[in-house]
Amino acid sequence: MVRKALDGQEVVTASAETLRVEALEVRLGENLVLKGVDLAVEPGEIVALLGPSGSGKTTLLRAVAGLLRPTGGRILLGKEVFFDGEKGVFLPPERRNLGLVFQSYALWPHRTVYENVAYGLRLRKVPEKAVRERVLGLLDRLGLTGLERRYPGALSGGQQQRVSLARALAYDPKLLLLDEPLSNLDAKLRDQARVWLRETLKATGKAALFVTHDQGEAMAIADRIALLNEGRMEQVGTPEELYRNPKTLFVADFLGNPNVVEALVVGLEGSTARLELAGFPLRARAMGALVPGRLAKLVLRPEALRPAGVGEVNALEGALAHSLYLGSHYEHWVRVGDALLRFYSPLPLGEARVRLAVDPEAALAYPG
Amino acid sequence: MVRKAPLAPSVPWPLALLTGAVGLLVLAPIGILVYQSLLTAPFFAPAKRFALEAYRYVLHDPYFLEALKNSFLIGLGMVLIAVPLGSLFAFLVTKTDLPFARLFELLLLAPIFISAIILGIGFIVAFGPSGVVSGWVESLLGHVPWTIYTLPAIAVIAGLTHVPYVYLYVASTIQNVDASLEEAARVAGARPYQVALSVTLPLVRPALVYSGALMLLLGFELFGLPLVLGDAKGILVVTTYLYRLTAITGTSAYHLMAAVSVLIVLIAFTLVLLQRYLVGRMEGRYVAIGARGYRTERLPLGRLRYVWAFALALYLLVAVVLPVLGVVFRSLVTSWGPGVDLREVFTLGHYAEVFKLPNLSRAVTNTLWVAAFGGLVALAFYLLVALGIQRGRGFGRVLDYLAGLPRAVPGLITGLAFLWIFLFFKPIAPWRNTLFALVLAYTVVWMPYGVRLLTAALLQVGREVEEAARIAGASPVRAFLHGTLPLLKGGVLTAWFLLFIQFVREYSTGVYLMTAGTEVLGAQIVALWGTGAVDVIAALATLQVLIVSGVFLLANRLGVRPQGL
Repeated sequence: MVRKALDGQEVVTASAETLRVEALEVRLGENLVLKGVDLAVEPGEIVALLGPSGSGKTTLLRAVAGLLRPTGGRILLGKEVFFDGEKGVFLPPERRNLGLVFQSYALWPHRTVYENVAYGLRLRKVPEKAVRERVLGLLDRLGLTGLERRYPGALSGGQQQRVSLARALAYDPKLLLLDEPLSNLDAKLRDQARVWLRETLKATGKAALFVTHDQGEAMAIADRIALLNEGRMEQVGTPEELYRNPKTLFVADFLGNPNVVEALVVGLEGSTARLELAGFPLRARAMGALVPGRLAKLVLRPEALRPAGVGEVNALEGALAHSLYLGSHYEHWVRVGDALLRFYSPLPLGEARVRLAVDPEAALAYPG
Repeated sequence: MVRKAPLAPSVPWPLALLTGAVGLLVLAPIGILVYQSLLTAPFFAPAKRFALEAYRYVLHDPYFLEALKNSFLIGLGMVLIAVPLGSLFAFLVTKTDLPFARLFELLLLAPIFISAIILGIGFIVAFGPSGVVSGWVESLLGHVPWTIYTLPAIAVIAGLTHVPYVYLYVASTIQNVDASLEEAARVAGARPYQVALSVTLPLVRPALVYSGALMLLLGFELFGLPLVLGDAKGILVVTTYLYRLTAITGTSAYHLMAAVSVLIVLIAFTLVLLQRYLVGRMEGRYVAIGARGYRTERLPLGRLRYVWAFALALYLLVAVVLPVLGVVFRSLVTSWGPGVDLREVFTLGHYAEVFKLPNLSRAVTNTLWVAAFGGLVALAFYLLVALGIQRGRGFGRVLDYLAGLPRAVPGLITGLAFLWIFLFFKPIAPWRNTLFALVLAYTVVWMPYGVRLLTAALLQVGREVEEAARIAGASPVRAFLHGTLPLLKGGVLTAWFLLFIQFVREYSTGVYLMTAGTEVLGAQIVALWGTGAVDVIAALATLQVLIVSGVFLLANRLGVRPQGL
């Protein structure tokens, strides 16, 4: 079924229009949920909206879909204005021509798979023959052949998800929106679905904006990630950019599950900071305006820490507090001063005291 | 492994006793009706024998066949009018940004709590030949372009006054529709009204079918409206045929009345079964009837929202406001007709008369007593039955079935049956002249309604609280008293308010049971209708409306939501 999606022989008109969200504000009741968010989704691009719960990512998606009315800012797709707070323009969802895959899939239980997918085409008064061709073609591409007469209640979670995607794609929408598309699948299925979803989306050539709270999912599927925090955009960039060059402590802390410890800033040398942590001198990348003599937040990813070789500099030393066997690797907790640092190793460690080395490039220091 | 002993506070013998009591209460009236219908003379007469004479007479009586046809046509009219309007209003009020939705919601429920007979009288006062509205229209157009004393008119009025029943069912079901199903349709390109027709309404089809069958059933049980509206032209329906039977035949027609009653019960029972069958077949692909869900974002109606609000307001004006105001108005004037000066005819005399005549003032106090005290007794009984249904296993299923049976027996017939029971069993005969007789009959008539209210309340509490108490070492009874009962308070209070209102509103059950000394408002109005004392009737009706609205507003403030039949 993955192969089939790759073929993509069906003609799809990749829209050449950019989605632009400008200074978007959404107020729900007393709550300012989005506080001036900017975002662009280029044609053919897959963008993930990532953030902790309550960060406003679903709100942003629903605002783009037209399911809620923002209080300020603008949303445009190409030249078409979806929403303009100043001019009081609000295009209702049915006139935006978007596809939306709901978290719950939201398949109509009283319609067959075929009728679910055909609905948007029927509304657009497409001739019955073309409807048939389009629906059966889509179902075939998504590996759903033979299920067209079934009702959604008789489908598995994975099948429902694909029907939901087929329904969103049926009327050739200008942009595809997906709300936590994989969250209802069980863990094993989800890993396969990531690959499948990315390939399928890429095969359609459509721009897609999808919400997720799972960073792994965002990194695997998206071309770019937009990381939201408390109604503001923290950083937008490729998964690698966000991971390697997180602009803020929040971004660094959110991606991966790093050690964040406090360290004293001793001095600055260009973009490198000299720090002191529990008596050990350490060099790290300065990620903001650090002030010598003040404390900084030091982000040390577990995967950046390794047992130091003989004579290696930029290292810390501490006592091994815990060692956990996790199947594919060991997870160790080392006490360095007041801080507990976590790192991995493929083999168990022999001794009770551990010296850990880190490349200065991989240690990130943020103003405390 | 699993212990079979029930966790319920009842050991089998109280349960058996309860089942026996419910069985007796429910089956005795039906039993005596069937028994009497098979006799050739009153059951207390010395000379009688078993025969099918009564059925033969009734089934060959053209009046009965005519009444049967009329009942069916009225029921059909109710389905055709109430189901579309009720569903439309339910969608507008619960799903869209209709202005004044809260107010509409409140007013839409009013007809459920006002006796049909009062609404009927209201229609006469407002839209009748010499009605207030008719007079005004006549002065405008030169003639009145409608009449209310024909069969189609009765069907239309019955349809309009029963819209709220459909509304209640459909609205509570629509609220359970997952909003994302509707949003999905909108994103796919559907306008709000297309969403309603292609997603929301198809999803609540079970509620539509259920309320359609309910309309047919209520159409057959309809008594107040055809009594007051059908009188002028002699239009009979099955219930009024029963009521007028003595007058028609000129004899004491016990066996005929019983035969008609049994036939009505049979038809109603068939309709109840049909309803269950149709709804049962639709499980799975639709939204289940009942329990309220969460509120979601509303569909915009655009510029049409005020048009729809106007349509709803117009409906409320015609079906509720004008008839009720008409009755109130009529109770405050000595006479009414073209060219009458309001200042001259205004009077409080009808109310003075109500409180001067002992039988009328007693009707007011008795009604309050029956509603408050009788409501409480019924409530306690229903709570036991609901508990038995929830926890009684085998007995529970029997109880559930028995408690639902009175649905198929209209109040008028239950009242008649209880009258005969009091005549038949000498030991309880003295109770016939007490309010106890009424309370007993009311308890049976409203059992399906009350038991369902309490079953729903019990279901919401859940068994975990009580199980936790049992684990902690409480006895079954103590676990119920300390665990479940405190949490049940809200549900029980709601049920008590609703029963109070229904008991005040009830009019048909008391028609035969009422005696000198046990008058109640509704039945007294029916009795007075024959005498033509419209002044006093309007005053009594106004009092009933006042009591019900007062209690309803109080209950509403306390967060009580009404439940349909």
